[in-house]
Amino acid sequence: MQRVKNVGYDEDELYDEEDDVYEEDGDPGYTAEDRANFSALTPVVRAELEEAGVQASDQDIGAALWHYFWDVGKSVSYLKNSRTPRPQQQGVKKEDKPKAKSKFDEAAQKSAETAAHADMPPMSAADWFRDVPWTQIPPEMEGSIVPATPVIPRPKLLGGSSKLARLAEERRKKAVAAANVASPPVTNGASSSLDRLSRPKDTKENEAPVPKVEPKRYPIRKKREPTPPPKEPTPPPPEPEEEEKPDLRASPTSFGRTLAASLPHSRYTPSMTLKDMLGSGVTEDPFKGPSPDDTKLTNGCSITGNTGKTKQPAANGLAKKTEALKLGDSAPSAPSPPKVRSKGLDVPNLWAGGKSKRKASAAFVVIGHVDHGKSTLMGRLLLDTGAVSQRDVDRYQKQATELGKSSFALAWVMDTGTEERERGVTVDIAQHHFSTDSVNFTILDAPGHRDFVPNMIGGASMADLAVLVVDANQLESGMKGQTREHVLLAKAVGLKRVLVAVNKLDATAPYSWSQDVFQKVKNDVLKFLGEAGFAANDITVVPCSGLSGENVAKAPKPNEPAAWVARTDLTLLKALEQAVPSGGNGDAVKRPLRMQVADVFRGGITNPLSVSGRMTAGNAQPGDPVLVQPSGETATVRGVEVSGEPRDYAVAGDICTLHLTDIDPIHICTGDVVCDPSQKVPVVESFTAEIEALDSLLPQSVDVHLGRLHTAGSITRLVATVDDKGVTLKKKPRMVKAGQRAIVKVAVEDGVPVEGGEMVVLRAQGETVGFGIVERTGG
Amino acid sequence: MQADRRRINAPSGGTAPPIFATPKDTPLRRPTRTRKPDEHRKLFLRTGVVPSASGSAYYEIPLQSPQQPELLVPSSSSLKITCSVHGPRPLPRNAAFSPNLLLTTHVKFAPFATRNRRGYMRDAGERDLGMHLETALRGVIIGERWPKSGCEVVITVLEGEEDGWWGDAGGQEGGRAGGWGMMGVLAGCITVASAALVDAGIDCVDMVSGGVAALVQDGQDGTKVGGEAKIILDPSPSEHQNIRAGCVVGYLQSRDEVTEMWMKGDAGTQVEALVDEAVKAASLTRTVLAEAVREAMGLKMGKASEEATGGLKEDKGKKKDVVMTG
Repeated sequence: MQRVKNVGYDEDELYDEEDDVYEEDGDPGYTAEDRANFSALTPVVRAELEEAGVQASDQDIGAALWHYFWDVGKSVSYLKNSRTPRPQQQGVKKEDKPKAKSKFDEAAQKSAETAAHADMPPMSAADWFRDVPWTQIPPEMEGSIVPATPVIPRPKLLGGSSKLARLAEERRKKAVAAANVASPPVTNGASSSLDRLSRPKDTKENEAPVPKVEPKRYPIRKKREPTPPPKEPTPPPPEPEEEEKPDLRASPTSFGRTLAASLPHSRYTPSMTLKDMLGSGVTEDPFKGPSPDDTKLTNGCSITGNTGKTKQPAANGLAKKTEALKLGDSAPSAPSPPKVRSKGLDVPNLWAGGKSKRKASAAFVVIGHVDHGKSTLMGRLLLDTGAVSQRDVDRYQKQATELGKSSFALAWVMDTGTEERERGVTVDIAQHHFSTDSVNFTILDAPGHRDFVPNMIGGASMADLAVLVVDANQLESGMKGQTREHVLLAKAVGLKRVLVAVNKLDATAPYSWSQDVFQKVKNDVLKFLGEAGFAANDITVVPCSGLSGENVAKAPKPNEPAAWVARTDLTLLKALEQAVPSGGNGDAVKRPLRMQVADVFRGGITNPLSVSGRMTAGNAQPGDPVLVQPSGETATVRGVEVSGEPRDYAVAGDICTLHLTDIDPIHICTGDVVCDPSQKVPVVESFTAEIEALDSLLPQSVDVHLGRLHTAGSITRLVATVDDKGVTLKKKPRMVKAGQRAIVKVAVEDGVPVEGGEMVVLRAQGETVGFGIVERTGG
Repeated sequence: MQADRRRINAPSGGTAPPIFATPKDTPLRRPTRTRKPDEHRKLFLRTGVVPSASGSAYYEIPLQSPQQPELLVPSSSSLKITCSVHGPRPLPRNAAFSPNLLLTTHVKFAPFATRNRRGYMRDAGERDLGMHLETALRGVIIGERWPKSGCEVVITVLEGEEDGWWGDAGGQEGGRAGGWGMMGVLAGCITVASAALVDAGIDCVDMVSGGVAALVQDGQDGTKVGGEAKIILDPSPSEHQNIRAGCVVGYLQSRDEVTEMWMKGDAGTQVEALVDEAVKAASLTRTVLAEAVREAMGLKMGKASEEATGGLKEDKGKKKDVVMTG
């Protein structure tokens, strides 16, 4: 590093020295070679100049040669030019002959000169007034003081010489004068300017400054001057060629003529009318009888009497035609056979016939407070019944551990959404199927969080029974929270049987699987459910642990702390099997089809549109035409699936998937009702319901929940309060108190498909305020 | 499932095209250039052929020589180009701000335009032509007057110039030897686009016209070699055996500027002469261009005066004035 630095300094010093030497050299740059050139070339130049009759000194010639780098020709022409027209410039040129002085030198010289001039009159005051008498000055010696007029320079253009400015001024004046004398002809300016088009090179006119037009952007094409032979510069763009331009205009081909001619006459060519397209091959005279429109016109007011005269017949003919077209169009479409071929099964009989062979099926909704372990318990149930493989659960376990939520692994069996998994909260109803030896179960896992109660109502309305999950350690929080509301809602949507799973017994307070804790919780829950209106024999209480899996599908082993359970209680699975309601009723199967859409999805490439939900009445098989309310669009059932397997038919009570076709997805959404086209569900905007109030009710706005459908609405009228047996207590009450039963009229904003007998839940401000049964629709 | 579903395709089975048989001994006569080297073919240009476009033009070089009576196919190609200009119109809302007019050009050969059937998608050659055309037009349009707007120049070549005579080499080479036909097409495109721009009333500094010149070295009676190299205006590729170089220019005559130049082949020392000839060709084309514009103008003015007092919005005339101020 040190060395490098030294080298640097040395070089600097060397350079300085050289510089100094150069400056000290008085005769700049005249090397021996230069001198040789001077001596060789000066005579040549002199001879050339002599020939042209121009005198020049050796110094001039030398300077010229120096400046033109020994180019004889250029030096000669320069000297010639500089001599002949302006000889007075020679002197000036001569002065800065050998090498141009630098600006600084010039400036220094100038200032020295002015300084020298300044002290030219070397007079003192005494000299000046030498022979002037003190008084009576002779008049010839008197001076007069004249105010000095400041010398104001003539206005000039900035940076330009005054000469140029004057020239410009003159030109402008001339232009103005010319403009005044002959103002441009106004008529047909466009055409006249067009005339200029044919004059190709009128650059003169265009030379007038057009500052707007960017001068730099378009590189002007310039001919490069050929360098070596300067003899003949390429001739300027030949003018004669432009003088007689041949007429290149050709007559168009027939195609071109057609194309070009179409425009000017386009206004007059009659455009094709609908009549032309429909043809005029009518058998009878279309104008004979009065058309329907005509009769209508004559019957009604004849506003367009005079104007319509000429057009009317044609229009009538047209109208007939179009009507015919329309008829032809619509006639075949109405009874158009569905594309999907129906097997034409007699579903009710088939169903009744196969009843004995068939396994029972049931759907249960899992309800309970948030974080009481509903999803985990169900995950355990699915795992232990073999509906989910251990491998999947292991995978979930791994993923959940990565997220730091290893205890949620089983819940992930049910909660498939990303958001659900991240938050650890069930959001929407999840459906899963599993089967035991005797029963096919469908689990509807309802969200526990109070924000998602509408989803829970939807799920509960599809279920046959409810499984209430309570945390053995946190019963109180649940009773205050969603346990209470869910139980009420389960009652509201018409569920009769409740199975209570007392969860998390492996984590009870003094020691795990404490029987005392279980007994206490059991008593509390039974008491509460009894208050809510469930019959005691419809309730089963089961102790279990979803996370560790005791007493869910398998009874605990005798040597475990939970061994007592096996002696007193059933496992959850056994209890579920027992709780299954015995068989559906054949009536519902024979009734017209009703199915509320719980979900609309794309069921794969072959089934672009599928709906799932619980069929509340009727039956469906592929090929059946169906109607979707409230949109009123028809569709055809293309396929039926129950529990994820294709079936020939589905009947009331099944939670099934219908693959639909011939319908646009925009016409169908969650909460719609798929029904029989011949006996469709009415779409109404108001209905009367007999409800049980959970809160004091006034005519107020409420959220109306009809199963999966929820919409904004309002209680418009309190018709009457009634007692349990339906006897009217008071007509037109001012308000309905909590706990009372009443008949109210409910209006909804949009039309909803609803029938008498459906369960309805009214909620306001996130609270359930009442539930009941729709009595009558409309009116 | 890669089938083209956007348009009606040919029947899958295919149809047998009609064969117009000519007697076997029919002599094929090679087309020859009958006009002088500095003579341009006659052409036809008309503006305002597409009523729905803001400006449009149709350009055509009809067949010059009568065709062989015993053949159904003309021996040399003619050129038919339509151009429609849409704009100036506002850019879509999501487009970035542009201080001047955004010009887009599309050149598309109709599938039937040349002997080799063209595809529906624009191929590389067509895109290339589009780029050349854009360069030519960008130099004339005064884009600053339309910030935030766009202008689309769509050219359909209905009949393109062939690259050579179809009789050559049994038709194998005839279609695509050298791509000389593209040059004539480009010159036509420039001229027709210029006319359409004027018809659309887009401000331009001048009218740009296209011209082609070529350096040919044809031998005597249809031989490829041995002839004397000469520069010709407006070559028709089918008339020449051996084109050595070609040059297209887009030329502004009243400003003496070239906005676009495309040279191809090896012109050797005669590059400048070739460019000069191309410029000459362009100035010849311009006479027709000016005539066509004037004609359209007259028609419009006449119409305007007929309907005059109705206060019709015939502002295209005024814009014409602007066009000329270059």
